[in-house]
Amino acid sequence: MTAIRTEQYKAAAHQGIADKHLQKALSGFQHRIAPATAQRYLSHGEGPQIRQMGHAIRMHAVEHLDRLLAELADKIDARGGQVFFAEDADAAVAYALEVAWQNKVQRVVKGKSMVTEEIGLNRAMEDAGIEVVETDLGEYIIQLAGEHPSHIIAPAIHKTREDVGRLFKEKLGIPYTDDPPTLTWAARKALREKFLSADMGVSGCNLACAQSGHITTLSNEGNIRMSTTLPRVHIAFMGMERVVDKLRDHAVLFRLLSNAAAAQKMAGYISYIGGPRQSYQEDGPRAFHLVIIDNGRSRILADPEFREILCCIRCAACLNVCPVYGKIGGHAYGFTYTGPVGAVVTPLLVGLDRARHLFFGETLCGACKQACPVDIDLPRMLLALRRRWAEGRKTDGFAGSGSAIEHLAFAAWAEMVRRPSLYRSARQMAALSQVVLPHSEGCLTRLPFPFDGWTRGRDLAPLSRRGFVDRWQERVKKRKGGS
Amino acid sequence: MSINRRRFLDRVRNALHRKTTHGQAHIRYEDLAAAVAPDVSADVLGILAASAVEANIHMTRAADHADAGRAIAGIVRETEAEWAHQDAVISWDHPLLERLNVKCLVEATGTEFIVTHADHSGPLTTEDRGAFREQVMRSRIGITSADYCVAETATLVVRTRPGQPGAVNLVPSVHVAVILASQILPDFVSLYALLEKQQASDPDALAHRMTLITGPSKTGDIELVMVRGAHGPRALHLVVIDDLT
Repeated sequence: MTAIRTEQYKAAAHQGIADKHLQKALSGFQHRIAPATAQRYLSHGEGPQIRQMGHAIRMHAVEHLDRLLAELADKIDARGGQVFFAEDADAAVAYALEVAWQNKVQRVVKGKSMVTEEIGLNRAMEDAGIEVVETDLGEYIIQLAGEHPSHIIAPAIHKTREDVGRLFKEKLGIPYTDDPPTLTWAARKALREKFLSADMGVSGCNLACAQSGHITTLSNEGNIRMSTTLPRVHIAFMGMERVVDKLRDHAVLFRLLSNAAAAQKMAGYISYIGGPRQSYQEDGPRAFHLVIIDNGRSRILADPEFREILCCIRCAACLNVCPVYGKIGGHAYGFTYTGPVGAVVTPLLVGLDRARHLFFGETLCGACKQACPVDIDLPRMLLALRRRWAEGRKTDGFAGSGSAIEHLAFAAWAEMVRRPSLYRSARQMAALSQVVLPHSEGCLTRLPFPFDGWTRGRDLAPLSRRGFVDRWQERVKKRKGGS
Repeated sequence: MSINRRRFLDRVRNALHRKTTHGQAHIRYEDLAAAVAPDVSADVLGILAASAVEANIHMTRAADHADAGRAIAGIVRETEAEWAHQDAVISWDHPLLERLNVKCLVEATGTEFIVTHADHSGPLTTEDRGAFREQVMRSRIGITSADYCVAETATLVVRTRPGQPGAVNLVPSVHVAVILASQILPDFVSLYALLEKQQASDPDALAHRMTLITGPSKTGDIELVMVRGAHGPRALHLVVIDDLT
């Protein structure tokens, strides 16, 4: 697994908010992509219900995963490809290293793949002495800078053109420029040599098809086609949920994915890859391996409340509308998956306790559900995660340890509201004693422990001397007196 | 069947035993086919022309094969080499392309014209593949046809066959695709309906590799500024021969 830094969410979020470059980049991105995506959804012959159709297709696939994965694997086997089922990150990485070793691989070119980021493939290969080159321009920039991606689709969104200009001057030895075309073509030239000399190509998989027995990859740059066409070995990685039943499912989902990921009508390249090259083929790898990864997904599948998250097609549309992501940026999420989808998937993969800040950090505003191309109810699952965490370890499914103070506070509250006289006197006491607390413009600015967390970022309206029940009774009395 | 495959799929099957009531769709998967009927009445050439503009494709309508050949020769004349070693033009071995007489027209301009070698008599050797790679790398233009073109999005559908490798529409700086107007399909739904039909009668209908190409290679990874020519072709020319009228 890649490093998990979800515990540092708060500190990293503060860092993101203080970063002026990042704020500008994120707001520009959200203002441009998100509205254009929403427009695209309305342009289909199927009408606005196309997102619900996408949902039905994905849910059908998730609920028939056992059959679909077996069909896919059988068909790739029959064409001479090798399919490996990896229970966890370690098994997947070990298999990839074995393939690299058997094929005497020294240099690897990679197309963008979130799941290889999840399992920490690059690090493991580099430790084994293999040169790994990311070839998606955004990923390449991030790799040269020695960082991690901050956005699923636009990994270098936090870098300005000046940042990239300085980076390329230092690492590629080209004269400084902040002209995006010149910078892009410098990377094109540098990477062309890597493509031609690489021994192995690594890719992810967008949505495999069980009916035809192919994996698919989508890109605009053509880097994934290069990585899977020129080297002599191709190894593809897919999370086990990334498959659909029928070819016709792609007709709906690839349009939605293109709309959602980049506000495009259709992605530049969609490649169907069903095995190694045939004897008649001039190009293509002589060996093809597909690694299907569980790494915690079957646990999610088994939980009725969270199974729906496996419908996700990793488009990042929810990031582009999220008010929280739009301020704190991707690095704050501390793991491969960021934004609202990260706030649901990451805790399910790494544990609720370790990643609880992620689901408590989101606002539940619902923008992510509206932006989702396959209509996933992310707010519902964010709430469910909060509940599971707060309930503590009662069930065998996903659970957190909860907060002892919170438990105690709610138990006390429950006792109190059951006794009206106790409740009323406690309220009156609080109303009287609050005058000693710091005030500003009629609001309380600091509560005592254990409630101080609430006022750390906001003010609280003070309790009224007379509560609702008092007022109501007075009102009733007055009415009676009047009639 | 390997042990880890069986264990893996057993785990998935066990997980599926618990039914979920969350996230159920309003639409039944089984009813979807009826909900996505292809649009067959559309003016496909007109729609394609508009989509091509949006996808940054240079589309040329040719009256006949000779006209198409001349259009391609014009593109070859106007395309400068991106890199110094690109002194050739490479073309698929394809019956439609053969009829265009491009070879003569291009060679008349002094540019080498390579047709991919497809010797069906036996499997290709390492030398054959090495030679092809060298040829495609020094080509500034790659000429291919396509199986279909989807009007809705201006998407070319390309399958790998003998003499028709994918690298020809990927490695050269410019890609020229030639199709007949009768190969145009209205939309994605009709394309996939057709692919499913072919798949039903031939399990390998999609071939080992099928690629859907929409426009030239592009990226917006630096501040969302759209740049053409990230790793694949910088430009895509689509020549449509009108065989309908």
